[in-house]
Amino acid sequence: MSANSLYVPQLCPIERIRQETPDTRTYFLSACEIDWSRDYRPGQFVELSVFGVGEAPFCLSQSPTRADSLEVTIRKTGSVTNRLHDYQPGDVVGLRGPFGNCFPFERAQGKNLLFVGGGIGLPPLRALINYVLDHREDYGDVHVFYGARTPSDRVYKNELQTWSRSDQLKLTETVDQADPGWTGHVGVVTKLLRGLEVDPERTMAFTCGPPIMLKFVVAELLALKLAQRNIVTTLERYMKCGVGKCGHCCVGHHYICVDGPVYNFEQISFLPEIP
Amino acid sequence: MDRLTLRKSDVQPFLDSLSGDYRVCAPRQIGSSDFVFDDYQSGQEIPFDFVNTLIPPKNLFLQARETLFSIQGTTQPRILERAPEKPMALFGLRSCDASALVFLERFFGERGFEDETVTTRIRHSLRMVLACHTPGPSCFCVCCDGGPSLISGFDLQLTDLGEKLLVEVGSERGRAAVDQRPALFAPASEADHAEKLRQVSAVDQSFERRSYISEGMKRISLARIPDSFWDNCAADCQGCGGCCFVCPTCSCFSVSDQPDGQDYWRRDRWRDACLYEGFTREASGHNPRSRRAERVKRRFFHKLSYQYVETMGRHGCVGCGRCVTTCMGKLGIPDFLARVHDECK
Repeated sequence: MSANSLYVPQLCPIERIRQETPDTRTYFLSACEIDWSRDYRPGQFVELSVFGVGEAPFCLSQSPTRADSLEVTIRKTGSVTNRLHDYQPGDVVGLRGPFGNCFPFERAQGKNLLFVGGGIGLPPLRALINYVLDHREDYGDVHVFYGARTPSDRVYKNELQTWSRSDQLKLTETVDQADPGWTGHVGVVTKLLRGLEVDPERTMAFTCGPPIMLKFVVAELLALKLAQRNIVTTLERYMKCGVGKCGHCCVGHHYICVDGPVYNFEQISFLPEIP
Repeated sequence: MDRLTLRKSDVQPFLDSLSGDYRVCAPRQIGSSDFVFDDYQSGQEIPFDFVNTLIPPKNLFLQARETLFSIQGTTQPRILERAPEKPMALFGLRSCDASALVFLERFFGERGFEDETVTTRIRHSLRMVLACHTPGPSCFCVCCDGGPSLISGFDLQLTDLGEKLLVEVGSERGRAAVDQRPALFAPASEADHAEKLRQVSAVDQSFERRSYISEGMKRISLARIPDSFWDNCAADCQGCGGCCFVCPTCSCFSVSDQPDGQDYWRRDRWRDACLYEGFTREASGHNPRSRRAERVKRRFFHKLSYQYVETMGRHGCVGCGRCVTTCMGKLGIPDFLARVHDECK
């Protein structure tokens, strides 16, 4: 009888680590053992093992078009991520995946795109944003809205600076609490959407952030007359296996790990428990 | 279907002869009236007059706790995979539990990912089902297509004819087990088969027909049940998860690493229950199913809604009745469906 390869991770050394915020780091994982390092799609996730603690799911945060190594941006929150934040380059983690569906980047072709990210909700969107930038001619206008608690809680600070100077996309940032050096907007990200001029027929929105932010962002986007099916998010649920077996992420008759994690709000309206 | 007979006095020699190829398991009496599935010891008395085991034989296939693999080291780890296992031969499992194994094999092979530990254990097992001749006080398999006897989903089906067993062959694996032991099996007569059919009809009629079971399932699927109903159920549910653990089709599990000696860890999975508050609690502390009423609703929806029949081919209940015996709050599946029926009159 064979051993259960479904749950046995591949070993991946950490190549380098970038400290994004005081509690968030991006891990660049050597893809040497991984045969799919350029073959995943934006929106997919991996199960990352910190041996001696366990496993947790994380979205791949870089576009496969740019993946020299696999990137995951992780905030220190639970037992796995707390231990991971003690890891150094050269230390080895386990990886299973890629799992789940992906952002509907083909259906979005020809459309203007709005991205609305809150805090640690930017990393999954960034995989798609960079994918779009690398296929720029396939998409219309791109406008990225990013809200963080404070300026120092912003992830990808260098990339945000590049985006802010780019003519390929428009970036609008806001923070809940400014510091003396902050010259951008102050307040919740939803305020930036109010009264925005969009062509609802030709616009798709991608949003990711805390549940309370999502609720208000969706309300604003619906007020801009976007159809529910053109508002897309990636759902988070507690999950263990990533392959539709352990039951933790099952909502209605959907397994978020296999049928999701990316859903539009028309689909979500048929799922119980998700506002 | 091939039909043979096996003398009850030949059951032990039969099981002894299987123990070369298989890990043989059979029901064993513990205490005055309880039975459990356990490794068969040569010469052990084999019970035929028992309703069912306390815990379903599912636990042999999806163990309460088991190691997926072992790990040496943490930041510079080495993974030690499990050694292969001997396939299992189960003697005397009941129809409902055999139906549940078919369900589990399908579930663990579905959705594009195969959990080979579970599917291989089931697929390579020799399942010798003992058809039921008397319904137990909490049995309702006839209402859930789980028994009392089967037409598929077994390797050998055994019917108690007194001194001997009628043996029906249901698979190539069963065929081989019989063919390799010609001295133990004799061809069945027409009279033996007629006696089996008489028993099946008699036991079928001795079951109470409960129309509220199928009616209740329909109403769960339509989801037109007020929140107050779930609040009332939640007031009776103790949140112990007992129903999930004794259910032959419940299969949720959790995974984490456990220390196993200096510098060694085991990645273990163990059975979990959707009725536990921590089942959906995320690392941030956010819990989308923080109220017990939501968890109770979730459990019954999962077991009984028609949406799962579409993917799994059947409801997630085989009518074994263990949840009826286990629940302190009178929320076993038939009791619950009776409540649904009364609520939605």
